[in-house]
Amino acid sequence: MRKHEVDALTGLATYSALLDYLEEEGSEIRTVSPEVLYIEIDEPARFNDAFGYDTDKRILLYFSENISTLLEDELFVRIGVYSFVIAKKKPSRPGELKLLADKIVNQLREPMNLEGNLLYMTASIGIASSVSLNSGATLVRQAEYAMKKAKREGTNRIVVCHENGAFSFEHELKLLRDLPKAIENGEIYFVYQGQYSYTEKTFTGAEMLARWEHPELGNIPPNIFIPLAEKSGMITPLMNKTLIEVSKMYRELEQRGLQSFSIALNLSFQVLMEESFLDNVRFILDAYALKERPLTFEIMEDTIPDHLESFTSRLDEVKRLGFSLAVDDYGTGHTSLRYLLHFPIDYLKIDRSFVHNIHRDRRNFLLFKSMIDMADALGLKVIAEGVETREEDSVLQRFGEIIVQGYLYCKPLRQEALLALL
Amino acid sequence: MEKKILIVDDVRFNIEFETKLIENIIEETGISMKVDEAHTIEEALKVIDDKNIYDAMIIDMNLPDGSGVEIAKYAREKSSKTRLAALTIYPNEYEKERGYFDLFMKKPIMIGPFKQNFLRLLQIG
Repeated sequence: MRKHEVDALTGLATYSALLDYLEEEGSEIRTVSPEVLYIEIDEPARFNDAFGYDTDKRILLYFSENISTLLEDELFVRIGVYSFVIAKKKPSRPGELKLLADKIVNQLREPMNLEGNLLYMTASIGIASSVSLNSGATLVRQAEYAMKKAKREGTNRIVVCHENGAFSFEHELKLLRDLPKAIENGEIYFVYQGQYSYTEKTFTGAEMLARWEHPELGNIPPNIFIPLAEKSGMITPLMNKTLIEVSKMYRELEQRGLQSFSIALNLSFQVLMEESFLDNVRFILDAYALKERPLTFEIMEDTIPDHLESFTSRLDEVKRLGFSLAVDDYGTGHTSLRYLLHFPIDYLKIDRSFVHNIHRDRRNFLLFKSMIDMADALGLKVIAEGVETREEDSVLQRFGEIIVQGYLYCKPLRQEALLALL
Repeated sequence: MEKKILIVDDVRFNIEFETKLIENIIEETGISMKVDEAHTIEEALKVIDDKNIYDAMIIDMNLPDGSGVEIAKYAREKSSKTRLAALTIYPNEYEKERGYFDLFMKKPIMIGPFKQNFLRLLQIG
């Protein structure tokens, strides 16, 4: 084996040693079928202000020493500033590194004792194994991709990347390439999920949702392709297309005498804050006769910043254009309640997790009730998401003036199907 | 003088979107323009024959009956003054054909860049 450099801080091996290990001389990686675990610690430097400027380094050292005690014959490598890779050649059974990942996560739940200071570290873990991949570098990238997915899901999460699953690293590249075409050729299309008003006893609006039917990979869920669209700058043309599509829907509604039927669209924080956002919207408003239409933008709660002047003023401008604003997935984010006072919001969409089993889950019922009380006090309208059973529905009906959305009333439908229902 | 524009695209959504953007430019600049449309190479060659000379064309490269380059070649033979823009998702795939066009425009169409490129195509501003 070649000689490799060693990481100065931790004394661990580095990337080149990892590649050598994975790509055993003379044999393809698939005959060795290694597993790779990619772990990234969440910003240890955030403790530097409080505990001194080398705190992140001490954390990394502490962390790497602790992990080493859990290892047997795996290769442990420092690959980035805050990231490490653990690789195992020929695991005795597949998924062995998942067990190790569980141990690491358990260890992270214990506070780290750094010279008397107790710190709680968090990390994200991705695992990939080689069945058909032919290079060590690809395998590592795939594990990194899984780690990033874990990071999006929360803290101390583990994501195992299944090569044949729909969303491997290779698939992501393919989707990125196909996305511009899909926006144009109708592979990405729109469905509407009706919103039912208890007081009016009818559907008073609908949420418009994007779907992608990929010709080879099949149905790609929005939680996969929307982040890709954001990453590649395709979210703006997708938003434009959505607005143009909705303008056509309003024309259909108007012909049926349903002028007050409201449509809600998801708006990502990134699109909202984009320099050209307001100009784009104004253009489409004028060109496609979208003015004065009852349109709501839904913003996911966990993307809302705690307080940000530019964000608030953007929301004000959107309101001035005549749109309503809703907080989506309310109750799942980590923002302070203060934003409800400061941001010009019209609707709270209470997350489905609070509606689930509300007829027998006492805690959900109490939380839901307190959200309704708060919304009432603040003059906000409420939409309950994810109503799926009659039992849930009968409890929600007691809250009177709310709007409900869910499979019990209406599943997401193509435009014509929704219009037929109204 | 009224500018004559030809848009060649098989996707109705694109033609409508481009036309509305051009209408917006007309409003902003006060320059009068007339927009014709064609959906295939065959249609495009026919309108080029029928309608004398266009000031500018925006040609989608991927048409049902072939490549937009055919239209560019034909338009160039008719008049060296017509300004030609190619519209494509993958501009890199047309390196060899660059010479036939004055400008490459990227799809999906973005509002700001389209307006800017269109003015460049007409050599305005």
